[in-house]
Amino acid sequence: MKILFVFLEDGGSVFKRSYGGLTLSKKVAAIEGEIKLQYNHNAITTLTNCNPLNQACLKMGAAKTMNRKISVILMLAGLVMLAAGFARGEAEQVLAKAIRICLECIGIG
Amino acid sequence: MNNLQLNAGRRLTQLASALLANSYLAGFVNRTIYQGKVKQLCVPFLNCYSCPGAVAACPVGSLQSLLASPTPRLSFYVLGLITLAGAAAGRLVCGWLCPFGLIQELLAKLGLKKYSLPRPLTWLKYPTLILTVTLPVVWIGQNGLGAPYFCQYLCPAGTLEAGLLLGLGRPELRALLGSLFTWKLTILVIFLVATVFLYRPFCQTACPLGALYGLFNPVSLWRLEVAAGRCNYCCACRKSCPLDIPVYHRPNSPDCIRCLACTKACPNGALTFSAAGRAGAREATPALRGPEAF
Repeated sequence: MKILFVFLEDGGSVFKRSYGGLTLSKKVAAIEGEIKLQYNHNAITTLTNCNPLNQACLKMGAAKTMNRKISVILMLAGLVMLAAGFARGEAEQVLAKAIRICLECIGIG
Repeated sequence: MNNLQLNAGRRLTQLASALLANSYLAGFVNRTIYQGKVKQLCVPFLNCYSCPGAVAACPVGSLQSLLASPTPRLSFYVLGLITLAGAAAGRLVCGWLCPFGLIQELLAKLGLKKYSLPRPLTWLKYPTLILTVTLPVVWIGQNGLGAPYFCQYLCPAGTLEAGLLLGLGRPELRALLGSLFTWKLTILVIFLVATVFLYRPFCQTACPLGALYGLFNPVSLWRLEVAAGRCNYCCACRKSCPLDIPVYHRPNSPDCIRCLACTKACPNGALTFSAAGRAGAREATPALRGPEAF
């Protein structure tokens, strides 16, 4: 999990925000608001490849990052299922079926 | 790479995949099937394991066979393979590897004009998917077992690859052919004739594997991305899409088989097929106006 630091101009407070989903764009909305902030431009740009004031870019970047995570998790789940199937001996069961002529496939049933 | 090179590359990949998956040539000569241990591996696309040349198993047939066995089980092995392939690239398997897709595409060259299917017909593949998975468990025959009903009553790939070659090719099997074979042959002929007028009608309307892979399209690692800042909505992508998908609007539609023709048709290079997020968020950002632009 990456942490985004935003430095407030008035009190020197520090926001610590986890970077994930669309939360970042909300932070940037705050930056754009009444409070004048000094923000770590380089950090935001490095994280998202976006101008921190470009909300559409931030939203899309965050969504893409989330999508990439989902697809990687799904691929890992697929690998785990594949391994579990092997462990349960399903490959042998598939082989036992596949080496016999499938009468259903031919249309004899 | 231009559009011609892309098409040639795709066609070669499809041919290589079909030949590799059906490389047991002795089977075609002797009307037998391959019985080696390699056949415990599944290919990620529809390829009947009773095709004389098949050297690997069909995922749909395997999934159903295990569901219809005396101790029914949902095959993690097959579902894991499908999940892995789908999460990696969605229906890229359909567009680039499936032999039955290749057959349909080659037959489609006979037709001059292709018509679009009414959208509700493309939804039929989802009930087919549900029935493919559920029927072997819930529809129990007189012998107390289910059966691979998709293979038995619908799959035209099985009829073409196994039914015609083995069913008609071996006298002892030919003697057993009856009304079921006639039904399956009718289904095959309907799809093959439809192929002349429609683009890959079986894939669009009835393939359970395509339906499953399609669900992965929006979340797959490799996917289509539209750089909205470059898109001027000229619809060149839609015109180039054999499935008439408005790619600029729905780049990762579940119906897309990822032939990638649209990526070459776009005059502005707004479409890319890449690992999610790798194309650069800035590229995919809607065009900004005024002081927000930088």
